[in-house]
Amino acid sequence: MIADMGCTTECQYCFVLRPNRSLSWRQTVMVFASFCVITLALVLPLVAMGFWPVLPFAGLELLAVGTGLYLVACRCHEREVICIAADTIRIERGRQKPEQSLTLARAWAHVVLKACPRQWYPSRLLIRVHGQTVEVGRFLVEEERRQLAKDLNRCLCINP
Amino acid sequence: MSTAAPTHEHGHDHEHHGPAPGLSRWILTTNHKDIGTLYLLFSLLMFFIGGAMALVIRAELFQPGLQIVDPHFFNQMTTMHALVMIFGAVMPAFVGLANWLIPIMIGAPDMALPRMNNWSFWIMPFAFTLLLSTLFTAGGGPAGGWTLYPPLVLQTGEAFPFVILAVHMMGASSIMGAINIVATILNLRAPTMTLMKMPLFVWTWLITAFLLVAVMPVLAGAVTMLLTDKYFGTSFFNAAGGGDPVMFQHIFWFFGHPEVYIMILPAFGVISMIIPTFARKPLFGYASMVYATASIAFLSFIVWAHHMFTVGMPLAGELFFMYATMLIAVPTGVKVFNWVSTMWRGSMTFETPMLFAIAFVILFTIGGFSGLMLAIAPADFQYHDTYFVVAHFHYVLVPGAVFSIMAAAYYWLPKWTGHMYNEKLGQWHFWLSVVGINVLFFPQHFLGLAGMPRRIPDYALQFTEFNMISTVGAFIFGISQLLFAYNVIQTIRGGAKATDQVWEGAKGLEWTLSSPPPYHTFQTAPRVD
Repeated sequence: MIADMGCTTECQYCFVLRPNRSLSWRQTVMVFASFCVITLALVLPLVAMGFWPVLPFAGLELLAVGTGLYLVACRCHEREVICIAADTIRIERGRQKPEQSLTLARAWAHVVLKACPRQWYPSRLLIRVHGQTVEVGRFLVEEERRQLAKDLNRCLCINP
Repeated sequence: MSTAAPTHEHGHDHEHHGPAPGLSRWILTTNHKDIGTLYLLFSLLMFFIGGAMALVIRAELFQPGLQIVDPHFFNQMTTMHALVMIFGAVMPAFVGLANWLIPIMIGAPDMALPRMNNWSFWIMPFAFTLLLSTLFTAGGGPAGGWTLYPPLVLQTGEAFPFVILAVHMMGASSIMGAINIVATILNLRAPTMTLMKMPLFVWTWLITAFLLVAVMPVLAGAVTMLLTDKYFGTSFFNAAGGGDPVMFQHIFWFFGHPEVYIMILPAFGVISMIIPTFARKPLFGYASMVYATASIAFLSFIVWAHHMFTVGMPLAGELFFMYATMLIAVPTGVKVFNWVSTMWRGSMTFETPMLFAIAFVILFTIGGFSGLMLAIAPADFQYHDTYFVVAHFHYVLVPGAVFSIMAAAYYWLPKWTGHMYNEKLGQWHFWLSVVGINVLFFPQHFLGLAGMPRRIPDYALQFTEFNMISTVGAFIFGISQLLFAYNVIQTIRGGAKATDQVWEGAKGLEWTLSSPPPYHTFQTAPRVD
């Protein structure tokens, strides 16, 4: 979803994009903790009775659960910030803080919304400058991506 | 902070972004709809393989004496029938339904971990090829029953390690499926889709996934201990070495009883979706349905020993497990009451999914009541290991789990394929199935009460008539499933165009999509009222 849009001192236009998520990081930790508590409450008494081979399987399984939840949580916490200044477009990606950044020349930039011809896959929103292409908003739904394409086009057309 | 790498775009990249052509589409797919379809077709295949094994069993039992197969092969058939039906037919069918439906019910574009989803499916065909191939090994396949009790199961020939590996693979597949379902439901719900707005099918699967994750390590550990007892000289369950074979039964049923609920809770969810549609009324007592499901899941952990009253437990233990088991009737009763109340004064119509749903409510309740009879510890001493138990759990699992899967298939098939199924054929399938299973399983109550033991290829003459009736029912039920397969294939291939809504009373996000839904769903953010 496009979480925020507006001006900052640095940018004329700023778009903050993030995927939809219905579980916060804290809730993710709580869900994982509940899995650990339930599984270990069932398994540890068996281990205490001498049936220890149950434990490595429980450990492996909890590792898989934790990894799965962690990966999904990471993906859900991704952010993309598109900052359009007078001469440049800065695209930042990251989770808690910007981890990747790319600056493009605004004057040469144009926005392309490329649809999959067979409609099997979602469209792709690309910003092209001098043969360089950057995809943005991969995690948005189609309607939001179309709206973002329109908004970006509108912002780029307005003279700085 | 690094510099973002620009995408190197090629002119042809998008043209190749559709699903891979031919077989590789199905092998490489990470799309939840494709994987759901694979699961459902795989479970249909396993249903026929397991069903063929059941027909071998029933054909042998048509009359006393040994006619068709030798006792050892008969025992292999009883063992394999159960393993194939539980792990190959019922569970994958529900995972298939979950794959197809959960993302489109909660407004998610796909499952949370699509690659793992592909992997969790593709383990299954290998696991079952391995399991079924043991029938051709020296000494034959496993013949000690699906419960794998030692020391009997340790007499299995060369097949034993392969069976254990197959069970591990099935378990790994189930766990991966469960992780994916939990991650999807909790992380990818559409904005405003709160937990208490989720369709009941989603709720029941969320709770089932918790059950799966909780109990699967217990099964994995138990079968590994069997393996080490046989090949590595340990004595976990070997009395001669200081172990205890009865402890295997405790451990197995500690997994096995929640496993029963793993097979029935998603069925409750399916029925809770279908009945309101055809009664044209909202589900009565949504919140109580959720709490009842959670209560049943909790109780499933503290009733395991009712499967083994006769091993010689302390009286206090028998009393505890007896009362705890009876307690399950309370939340289950809440569910049955809510389904009946939903139908009460509804504008009901009786299309095939509704017929299966109504049959579920009535026949599952019969299975529930015979379960209550078995819960009474002193009475169980009479019923234990008789055909009464066979009749009980088949009433729970066939008109329970299997009928709900069939109801779900008829209910969502028009949505999945974009074509209406042949209603007349569906009704024939229903009536033949419902008559078939009652002729098949109801007489088995009488056989059990009269003392006929289960898992025997031959029996006393006094049991002949009921066995003959039961076998006739088995063949009616078995052959009628060919109608189902034919109807499904015909619907996939073509038929009258289904509308997006499909059923007049259907409510939920999946019905807002086109029929069939686009390969990638929710191009616009769904609104949940």
